[in-house]
Amino acid sequence: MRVIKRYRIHLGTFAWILHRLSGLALIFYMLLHIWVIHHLSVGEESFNGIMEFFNNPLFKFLEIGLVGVILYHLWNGLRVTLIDMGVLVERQKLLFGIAVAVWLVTWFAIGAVMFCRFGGFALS
Amino acid sequence: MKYREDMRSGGALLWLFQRVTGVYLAAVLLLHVIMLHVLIEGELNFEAIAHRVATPMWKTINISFLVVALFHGLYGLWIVLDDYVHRRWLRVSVFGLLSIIALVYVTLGILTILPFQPGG
Repeated sequence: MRVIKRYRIHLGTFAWILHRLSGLALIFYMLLHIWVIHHLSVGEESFNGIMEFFNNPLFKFLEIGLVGVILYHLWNGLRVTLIDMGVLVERQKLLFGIAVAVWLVTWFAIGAVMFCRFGGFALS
Repeated sequence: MKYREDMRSGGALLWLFQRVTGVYLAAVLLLHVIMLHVLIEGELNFEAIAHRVATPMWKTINISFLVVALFHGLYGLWIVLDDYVHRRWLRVSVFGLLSIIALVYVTLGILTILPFQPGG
């Protein structure tokens, strides 16, 4: 138990675990997505048929979550790349804060548009 | 630990390539999400995308997006599996399976994108 107690999960480790988990989710989504989109080559009816299947509140809601997973992996990936390049290595906490802020702002912005669309709310 | 000597997960060049493809994907994927979920206002169907997807410029972008994303994703999956799969025969099998998936999906994707015409 003492060993477990001393094993502290630092911010960077947490970000790394989330990067792996989001990456795993995205590769499985991508394989599914490429298969779904291949209906485009079958024909208009086939493509519209499968898109209609996903056109309901459950999938629209899941899509907003997917965008959150994509944007986490995207911004954290850029953060890691900057650190690898030696940019802001002295200010890692600041860089991490910026990455999280940009992630949440972009997710909220795109998510809000998607939510308003499927909620039927008017966007001026 | 012998497996590390003959079958390494990549080395510096592949590590760099994972960063370079990541930066490319960040740009194209952000564009992809914004174009399809923000800029298209109506329902996401054949009519909404067919005309754009049929142009040579978008066929080029989409094929590069497909190949780069599959490489980045499957190589990333291999990096993760590399930490947990230690038996040599299993490593060879997993690596082979990922390679086959890459080949099948690149083919499926290119067959979708390249011959596409808006007329169907």
